[in-house]
Amino acid sequence: MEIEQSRWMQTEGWTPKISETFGIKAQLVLCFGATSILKEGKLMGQVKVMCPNAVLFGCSTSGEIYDTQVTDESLVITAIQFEHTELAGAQINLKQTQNSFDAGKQLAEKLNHEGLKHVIVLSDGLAVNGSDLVGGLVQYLPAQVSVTGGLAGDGANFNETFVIWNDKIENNAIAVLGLYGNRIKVGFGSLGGWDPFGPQRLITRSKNNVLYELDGFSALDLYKKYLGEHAKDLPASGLLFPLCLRTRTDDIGVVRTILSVNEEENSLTFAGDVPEGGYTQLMKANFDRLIDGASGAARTSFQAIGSKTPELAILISCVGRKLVLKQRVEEEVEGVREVLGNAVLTGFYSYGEISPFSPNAKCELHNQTMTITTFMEE
Amino acid sequence: MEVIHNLLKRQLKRHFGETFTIPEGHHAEFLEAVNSAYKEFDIDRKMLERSLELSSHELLQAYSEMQAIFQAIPDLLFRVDKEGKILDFKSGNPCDFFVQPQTLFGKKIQNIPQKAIGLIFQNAINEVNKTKSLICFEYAFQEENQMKYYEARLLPLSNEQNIVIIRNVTQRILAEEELKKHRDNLENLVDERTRELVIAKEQAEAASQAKSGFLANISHELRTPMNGIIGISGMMLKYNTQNLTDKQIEGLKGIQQSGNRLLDMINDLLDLSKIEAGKMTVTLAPFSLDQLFYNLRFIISNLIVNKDLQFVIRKSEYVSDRIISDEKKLHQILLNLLGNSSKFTEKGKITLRIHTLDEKLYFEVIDTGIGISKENLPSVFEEFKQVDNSTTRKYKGTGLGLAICKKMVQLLEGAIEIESELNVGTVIRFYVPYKPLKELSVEKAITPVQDGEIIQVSKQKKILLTQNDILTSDLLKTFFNENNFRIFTVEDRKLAYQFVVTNEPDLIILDLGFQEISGHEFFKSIRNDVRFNTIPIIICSINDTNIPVAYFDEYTQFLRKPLMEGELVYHVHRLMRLKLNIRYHVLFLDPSRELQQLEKMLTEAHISILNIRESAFFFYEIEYSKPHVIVINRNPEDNINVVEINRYLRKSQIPEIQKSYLVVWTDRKYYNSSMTLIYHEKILFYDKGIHKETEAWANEISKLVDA
Repeated sequence: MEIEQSRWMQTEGWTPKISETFGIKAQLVLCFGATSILKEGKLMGQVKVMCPNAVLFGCSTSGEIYDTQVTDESLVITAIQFEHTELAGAQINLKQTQNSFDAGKQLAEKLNHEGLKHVIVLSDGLAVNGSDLVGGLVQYLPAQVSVTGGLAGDGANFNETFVIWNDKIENNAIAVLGLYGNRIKVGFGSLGGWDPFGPQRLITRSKNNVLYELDGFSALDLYKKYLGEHAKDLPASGLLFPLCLRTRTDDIGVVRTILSVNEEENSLTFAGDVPEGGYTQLMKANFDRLIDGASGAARTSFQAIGSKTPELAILISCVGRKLVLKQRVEEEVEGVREVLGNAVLTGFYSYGEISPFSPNAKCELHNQTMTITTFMEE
Repeated sequence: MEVIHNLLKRQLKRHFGETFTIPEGHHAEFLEAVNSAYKEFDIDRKMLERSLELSSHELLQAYSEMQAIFQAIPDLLFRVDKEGKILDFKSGNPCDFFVQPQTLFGKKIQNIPQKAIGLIFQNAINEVNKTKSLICFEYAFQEENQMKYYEARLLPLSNEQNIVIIRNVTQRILAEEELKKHRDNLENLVDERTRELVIAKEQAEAASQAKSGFLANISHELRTPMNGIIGISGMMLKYNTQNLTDKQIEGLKGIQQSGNRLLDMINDLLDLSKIEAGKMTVTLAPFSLDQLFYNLRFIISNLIVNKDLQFVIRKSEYVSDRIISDEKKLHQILLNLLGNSSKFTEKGKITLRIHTLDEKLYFEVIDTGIGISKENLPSVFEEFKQVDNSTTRKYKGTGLGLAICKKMVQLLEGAIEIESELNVGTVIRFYVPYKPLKELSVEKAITPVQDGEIIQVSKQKKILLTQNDILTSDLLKTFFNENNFRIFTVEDRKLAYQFVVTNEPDLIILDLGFQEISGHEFFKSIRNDVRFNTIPIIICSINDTNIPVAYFDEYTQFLRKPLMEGELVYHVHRLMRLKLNIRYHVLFLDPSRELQQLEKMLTEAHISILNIRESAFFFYEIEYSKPHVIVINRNPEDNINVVEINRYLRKSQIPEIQKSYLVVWTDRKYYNSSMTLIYHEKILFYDKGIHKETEAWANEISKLVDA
């Protein structure tokens, strides 16, 4: 495949400079940008003009990845020309569905299943129940089709997110891109770097992905206690203490991140289900493990693709990691670069990641992870 | 730049001097980045410290809770390492372990108890280390002559240590053993009891068998000689009086009476025994209620002959005449009840009421007698009870009557009750299921009788007797020969059938005897044959019979042995009349046969007569045949109550009977006493002393017939 990349920033415009021929032959342009830029729309219009033959696929972010750099308030475009791979996709607005599961089902049914190899899904980051969406997709797609993707972000604002599908840039939308053919190789990996600490707490009251009580006490109050003066920065500060969720005490835990807080109802909304009777622990980031996690994810995705240097890698990392790593956030992207050699790197910081844990595992919604999908055409 | 972090400030001061100011441009940006980083590190550190503090606090709390829970558990708890060395304990009851727990630290738990138990502990520890899962075991030891039982659990902890929980389960084990013992004991008891019951049952059954056999034998043994005594003395009275002295005649009458009383008592006792042995059975056969009642009427009217008593029978029009029930038992019950009423009522009225309601046939015996007091009323139906001994002596009787009545009523699927008031009267009421006989659709060949044709019953008729019992045959021959009946005796049923086919007898007496089945077959074969289904058949049996009710019809009569002469003779005549459809004009009641001349004279004048020999059926005949004139020959020794008869006639609902003429030929004394009691235009008295059998008298009677 042929790949071209550029990044637009307020202060600098496009770097590298956009040539005349940029994206002319591209079939796909991945666009990750800040909410404000996408909302404004003019820049995306330009991109459309630049790449008339391409599908525009992307979303709003909590940080854009270009090479080993992470920026905010920018737009990163990656134009891709495939040699042997067909593309098809679909978009849906939540208005047209009954629920997130139904959305996944409808999208899966919109895609032609013959020859389908892999599906990339980008979803609204605030209105969607990520685990239900993944459930619907996985159930109605053929078993051998892999799915990766993420939930769009909105900086640390948790206000509104957008999904791009060609000329549709909408809230409450979900888009899927299918890759067809047997020459395209896809690998993926996902790792966290967060450790549970403290006592195990039983979820005593919750509804779907809204948590009310742990061990009979208010969950929101627990968070405020641990956050201290940072409680005023909820929900963003909630990212510092994701929940480790186990349905039984000896299960492997799944990480859940706070998406929003409701003071009146005394509840916390998470990116995925937090069922009653489940066991939870608070988690803390282990700095070194975060960095190692990114590298680990890269290694897994590298091995999945046959231990060859991929041509393209899409990094979808959780906003929580960025908030913890702060100025050192690029260290994790550098870690990925070290493993993946000179693959083209793009991606964004999200409100949730979609991927199997490992090549043979079921696809799930993750939080607080670095999720990498690698691509290579044979 | 924002507020400078203290560390940065110091560092700048130290390395760049007190008066250092940050230049613009890259340096400023650089320092800003460094400043932010420092601040962020601080925040991170504070966050960590707070998390640690809060977390520790929570853990401590959790630990305290766990300790509290442990303390609350009554069991003994140890924490041991993987070798069994005791690291910590929580004591339950100190004497539940082998030594004082305080001395245990550092010791290995498996070394403390006696060897055998210690070995169990060692094995358990090995196993829990290997499998890392819960191990349970039990052990026991003796202390002060008592066995103590324990249950121990080993739980692995995540840090290669184990928890040992020891619980005293002595109480539970003891309770289980107790229960088991109890259950075993119970099972033994049940087995034993069952064995006893089986033996008792066998004994009871043997006794019952013996009793049945005894009853069967005894009833036959007792009744047969009684039959002999009564029958033969009766025969002697009837046929040989010219050869006897008056004293001897009195003697014979005495024998008869005593015999009858003895037979009654025997019957009562046997009935009671039979009922109690559960051996009394019920024979359901069709019979005529009217016949039954008028039978009773005759007997009762004789019982009350010397009393100022009226006996009335009221049968509801809705009650069918022919019903299906046990005639013999009903007769016995009613006779007993009416007999009691007759005994205990001096003046007034005895009423027998019959009506039907809700498929039940009710009989009520109402009298105006001495009544029964409230205290005695509840026990009247008990055996051997008369009201008090004085009444027993006065009124005689065995005291079994009402008890037998009640049991018989119950056998008939009915119920009996009593109401009474001292010196006012008594009502005894019982019911049986009401089963009226439906009309049969059997072809009957009726011989039409021409008007005026007089057929003397005394023309010789053929009677076929098929039976087994020699005594009965002799008796029958005595009854009938004299009346110009020829009796043919055929024992074999098949031959009997042949006889019927070839000779067509006028009547068949079928004695079932001990060969019931062939008797039934014979009966059915006769009845199923259209040629013979109107031959009257009298079935005699000492036992109950199982001939289906459907076969019983007007031409069949069932009589229970021992046979009474009068009963048998009456039915033979009745059935003959039925078959020949004979009607007559004048009914004679002449037990001593003094009016034979008159009969002859009337017969020659073409007035048909019937002389009823058996007075018991007198009233029945009146109802049945509705004679225009009734002639009664009454001698003082005869039990004929003319007053009662007249009353019965006049109160009859049937116009012919009401208007019938009653001609009474009696002695002057009776004539005088009766005349004062009754006067009716339809009753004519003739003084024996004055009127003789003359033509004139015959003419007068003839006129009555035409009137």
